[in-house]
Amino acid sequence: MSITYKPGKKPHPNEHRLIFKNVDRRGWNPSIKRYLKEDGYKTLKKALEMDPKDVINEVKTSGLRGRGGAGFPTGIKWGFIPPNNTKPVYLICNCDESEPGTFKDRYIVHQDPHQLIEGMVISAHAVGAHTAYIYIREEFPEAAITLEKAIQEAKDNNFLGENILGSGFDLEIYIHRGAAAYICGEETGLIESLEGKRPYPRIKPPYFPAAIGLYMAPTIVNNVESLCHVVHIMRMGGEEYVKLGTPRNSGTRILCVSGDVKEPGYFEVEVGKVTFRELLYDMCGGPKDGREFKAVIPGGSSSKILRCNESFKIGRGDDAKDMDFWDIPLDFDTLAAAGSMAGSGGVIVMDDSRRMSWVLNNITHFYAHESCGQCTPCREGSTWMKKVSDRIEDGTATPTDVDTLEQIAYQIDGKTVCAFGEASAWPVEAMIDKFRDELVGETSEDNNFKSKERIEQEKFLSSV
Amino acid sequence: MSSNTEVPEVPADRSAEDATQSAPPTDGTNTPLPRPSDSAAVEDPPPALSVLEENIHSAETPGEKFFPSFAVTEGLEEKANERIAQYPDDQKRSAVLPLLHEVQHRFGYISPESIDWVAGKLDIEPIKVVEVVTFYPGFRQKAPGKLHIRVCRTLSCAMGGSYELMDKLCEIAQIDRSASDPHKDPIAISPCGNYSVEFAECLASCGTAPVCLVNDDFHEGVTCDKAEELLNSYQNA
Repeated sequence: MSITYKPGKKPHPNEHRLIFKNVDRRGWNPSIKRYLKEDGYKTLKKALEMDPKDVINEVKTSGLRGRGGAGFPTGIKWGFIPPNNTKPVYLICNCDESEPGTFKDRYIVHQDPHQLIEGMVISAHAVGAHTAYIYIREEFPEAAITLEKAIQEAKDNNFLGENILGSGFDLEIYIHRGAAAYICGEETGLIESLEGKRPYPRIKPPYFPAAIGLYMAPTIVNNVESLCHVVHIMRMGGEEYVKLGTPRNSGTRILCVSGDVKEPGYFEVEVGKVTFRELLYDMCGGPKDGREFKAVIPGGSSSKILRCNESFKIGRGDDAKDMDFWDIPLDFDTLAAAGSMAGSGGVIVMDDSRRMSWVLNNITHFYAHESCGQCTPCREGSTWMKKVSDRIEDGTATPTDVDTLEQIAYQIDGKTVCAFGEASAWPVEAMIDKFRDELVGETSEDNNFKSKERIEQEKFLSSV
Repeated sequence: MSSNTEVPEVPADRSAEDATQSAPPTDGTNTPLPRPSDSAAVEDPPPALSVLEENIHSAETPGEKFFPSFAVTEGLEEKANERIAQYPDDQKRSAVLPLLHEVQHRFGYISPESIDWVAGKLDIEPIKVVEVVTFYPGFRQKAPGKLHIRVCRTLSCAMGGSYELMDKLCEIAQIDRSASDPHKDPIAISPCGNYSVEFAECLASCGTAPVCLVNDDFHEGVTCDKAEELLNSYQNA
């Protein structure tokens, strides 16, 4: 069947659409009627006839890696539920999509909610969950309504509820809206929030809520995109799915490009099949007129920034080879080898009109605002980083402030309960590492900044 | 210390200086240190709120007239019970966020009375509701304007011009944001109460920057020259 897309929304020839097949498609709507017309929920029927263990094995075979940011293999995560468990198992869909630069889940939950629901029912069947929650960010009020409507439609058609399609399997899905806190994207913070508390991430171990999660019971937390991939894995079979993409980086993933390119937007590509050159020049139309690319944040604002004129040594020992920034494929492993990460797929592009001090300042403000305040290094450090970067940005800093900023970042990194510490410190570390000269260039030895607190304190000192 | 540091003024009031140099009280009472600048201002300060009162207090705003004051209606009760039923019987506390959303949706903000009601509904201490309300940026404790506009300020939108959009909105709606603070008081309201603005962190539509939410409606690609058009589109609503 031929698919037509809305004007200006046609997929680029480099794309391979699975998850986004119906996004911005002509004649598509989020109703179950439309979804059923194209074999919707057929895969569910097939999966329910299978043994849950076989479903998990199929996902393991597919090599699917979580699309939320960490890239952890989904099938392996499912396998962490203790075999002798007697408590109820919960499945949670993480739809908190809050990493700056990422906007893929938005389209799925607004335009294709039944794909997510089908993926959740299959996943719940695999892990043995009879209650599932969709934790959706507060900033998607419309999607919460769309999803609740879709859930009701699925119930009316017996794809949800009791004895689904006569298989004897029961499942209820509920919507739980967050309240605009970034930290709820961290899975144990999300669980605390779902329990009605402040979303302070939990102490590890246990490293995975699959051991102890929601209400102290085994819980699987998966990203929206990951759960949608489950539908396609079961439809195609793990063996077939793994052929997409590159070894250890199978399947497709959605790249979200924003910032200084001619045509920003979403692109679903086979993992590792597209390089930065292809993505930014061919698919996004290159830099704006008269501008040149300067730097790229490859996987959401917490991933380390890369300079466009850098080259990297990728691989180990004799296999190591030099690679230009532009030749790097956007997969999990190569980006990690280049010192950054694929993260959530949010590619933020900056051209030569951007001052790095301004970019840095914008990012430190975000993390200072979003730190939950549980761990001291992060709570205090993120605010200090904001204050120091304020000075660098407005030109009142001294060159040693750049060193101070770097020191603060390294004192947060690795010293907190959750990965927010790294998320706030990495961009600062990388920005200073790659653009130190530019940042120092905006400072001056002659500056003598004094904070309000210090001026107050000095009033009480007789000699300074 | 560098040589060009200004020599601090010697406080005029000697007693204030002496107080700061004497040993701090050891009986555990934290008497605040007198500050030199305080000596002039001895007029009656407004009665201080206790920490608890301060945390549940709802400041009066010009937007209040557009929202009904908190009252437990049948509809609210029914909706609340529906939400509570989503969670296991012994885990009613989970419904804190959904209930607060219901309250905020109907009454515009979370008032002290509504905190008590939510706590009672879930059989938990009110402080457990307060801690949630004060943590999440999504809950507000004073009435916003009739149209509450949340402009995304995070990187991609900032590059797309969200700061300019915010300035333009403030200019049209005559809003003064100078006293706003992202942590304590992010919302600024126009004197007429029709509009309020707030900077939000990443609304997850970076590809169509700059974006904003007007009440529950999402708008993308709102550059500052479209600000007027955006507000006008709500004129008849």
